[in-house]
Amino acid sequence: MARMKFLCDAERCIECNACVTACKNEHEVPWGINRRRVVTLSDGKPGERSISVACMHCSDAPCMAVCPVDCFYQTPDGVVLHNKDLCIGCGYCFFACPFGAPQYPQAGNFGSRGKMDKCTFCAGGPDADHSAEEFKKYGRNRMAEGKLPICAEMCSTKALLAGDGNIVSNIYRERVVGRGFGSGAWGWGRAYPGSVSN
Amino acid sequence: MMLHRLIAAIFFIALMLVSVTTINAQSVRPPGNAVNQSTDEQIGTSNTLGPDSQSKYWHDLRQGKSGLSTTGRSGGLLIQAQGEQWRLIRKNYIIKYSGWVLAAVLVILVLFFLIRGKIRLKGGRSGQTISRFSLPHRTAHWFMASIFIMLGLSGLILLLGRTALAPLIGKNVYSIFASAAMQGHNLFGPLFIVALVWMYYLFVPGNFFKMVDLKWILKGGGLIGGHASAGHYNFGEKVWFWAVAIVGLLISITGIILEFPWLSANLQLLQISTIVHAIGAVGLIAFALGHIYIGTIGMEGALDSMTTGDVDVNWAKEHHDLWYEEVTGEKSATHDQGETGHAQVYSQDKITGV
Amino acid sequence: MSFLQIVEGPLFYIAAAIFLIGAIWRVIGIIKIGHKRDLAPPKGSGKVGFVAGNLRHFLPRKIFAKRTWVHIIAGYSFHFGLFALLLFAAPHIDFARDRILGFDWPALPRWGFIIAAQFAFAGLIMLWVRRFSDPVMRLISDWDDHIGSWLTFLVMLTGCLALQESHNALKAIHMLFVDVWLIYFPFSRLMHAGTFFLSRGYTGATYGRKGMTL
Repeated sequence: MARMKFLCDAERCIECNACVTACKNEHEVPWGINRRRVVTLSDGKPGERSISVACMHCSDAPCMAVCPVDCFYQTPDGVVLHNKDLCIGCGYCFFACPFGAPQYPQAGNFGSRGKMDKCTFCAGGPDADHSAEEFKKYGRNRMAEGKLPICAEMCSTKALLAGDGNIVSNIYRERVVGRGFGSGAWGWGRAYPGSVSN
Repeated sequence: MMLHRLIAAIFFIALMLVSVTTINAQSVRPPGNAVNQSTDEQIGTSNTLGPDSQSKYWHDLRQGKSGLSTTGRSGGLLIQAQGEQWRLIRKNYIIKYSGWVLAAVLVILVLFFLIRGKIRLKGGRSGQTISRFSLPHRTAHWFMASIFIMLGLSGLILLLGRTALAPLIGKNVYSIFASAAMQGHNLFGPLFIVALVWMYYLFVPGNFFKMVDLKWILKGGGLIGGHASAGHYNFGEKVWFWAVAIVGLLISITGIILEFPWLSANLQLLQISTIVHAIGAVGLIAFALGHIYIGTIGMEGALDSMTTGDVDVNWAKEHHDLWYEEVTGEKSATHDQGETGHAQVYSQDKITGV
Repeated sequence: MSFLQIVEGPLFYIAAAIFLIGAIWRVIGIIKIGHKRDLAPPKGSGKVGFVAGNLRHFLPRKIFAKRTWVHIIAGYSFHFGLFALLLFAAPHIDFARDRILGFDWPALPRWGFIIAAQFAFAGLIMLWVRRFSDPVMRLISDWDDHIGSWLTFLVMLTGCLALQESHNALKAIHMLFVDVWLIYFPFSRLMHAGTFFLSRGYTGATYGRKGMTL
């Protein structure tokens, strides 16, 4: 089985936010929720870099560890998914997540959290593949159609890579060799400890 | 007319261009004695990150350096490093030990009951009672007790449910419990603050520490045997009162922070709040177990003070002798000679025959 | 048919019918008793006294207020909170529109609903605590009072535990208690909601005819 990973090449990302928009459109995510965001560092200064970030589908996922109702599970592909039928909207996964991936609609008492929503690696959820229920709760299940996440598929500079971790890191290594430098596989040290160091 | 103006304009522009270029030519040329200070020439493309080195740039990010983002509630923060700490504290300390602490307290109480048994009135019931807690005191106490039990149960379900409950009843059923517990906990939380303030206001007189409390500690509170004098509240009751007041205040503050997450955008504050809230609450629940034990099956005649508000005269003499003397003005037989503890009278109590 | 469908379908309609018929039957029964013929010439209007008696009892008496302020505040807090919940909670309005009336009206915002619930809970807990800690109240309370308090408390509690509106089981438990409450209502002191105006009015009218000011 492949181990699915995201990789954002900070030397290529041009902060167009198309990944954010494509994700919202593909999954019809409700108002106020963005499963992916683009962060710009040193904005307007020398060394400006942009990074697109969402759930990294960590190997030892902190969200999975702290969830009080144990609603997370990891697919054989290494994708971290959650069951919205079990989620109680406590927010603990957001406290634990290093990447700020979990998002919440303001649905609870006094504007507190509703059920958590996050990037699914376009792999849906525990409901039946391609069912209306699954689409409503988790968005489109592209993985079941044999497709990779939409954000990486349509990235204009191919800064955002998604897919089998070995293939992704090979592509990135070729790039680093070709241009003579690289900014490290950003976030990999935390999400996939032991695989590649930054 | 038009032609004159056009010629004049062209002439004027030409004059401007000439003057500007001559001035620029002069200012750009370095003076003869100038020294070139710049020595670091950019070689290749490796240092595109500006003044920082590659490793420092990415190291800072891992330590929680922020950028800018136009989307997402998490904003420009790429990695929040303290989340891992929070996870470890919660999993490895709070959840692990809170279960053991509560279990240990229960075991100690059971053992204590088996060894020491119910603390009986030595003189039996006299049939005469003395007023100990007024109706507002009792109402405030039970109001707090109701809220405390509901909050304690729902909180423990959320804290320990995944470890203790989910394996027994299954994830799906446990999720129903957890959902109900969280909604109930959030609903009753603010009422705890109301109950806390009300109870503090009514119970604070007489709960300040005095010299007699030191003697009470030295005698082990009379739990092991012997007699320890006490005023209206003994040392144990005073510690319980202040534990509720101070820890209750901490729980209230952290609870407000957690219930209204939009009040503060500071994630670290929320993380610390969950830890303080859980430790404080488990401590209070452990204390409350002891309180409930000694108030019900642990001691004969103690529960009367919170049900009818009137306690047996013999109970007052045996457990709160100084208070009894203060109220009635007569010496109790159990009172040790030479002790001069002073208890504060907090209300107009009187002996009532039944 | 799922448990939820039963408790919010047939069982609810049966309970609502028992509630309505029972309550109307009891109110009619009380009205039919009438009042004793007053042989003395009236010194004032009985009808005015009826209305005045009803209104006057909403305000506490000065001589009692100091002693009973806790339960006056608790009583108002509970009843206002309860009616705000009952009539203006969004799920209740949806239920009334879909199953009973066919039309809806503006709902409280969620925070307003929660605050109303807190007032109702604080009031109800306080009233119940007073019921067993006040010697007089304990003496005059019987099982009916406690069952009424507890049923109302459980209806409110199960409703608020279902606030996430995510699990059918929680909603079904709430509806089950609603059904039980509706069936219990006409045969218990919960009936005071439909009879209090008669007793206040009776006293008021008697005083009114005697020309007493309330």
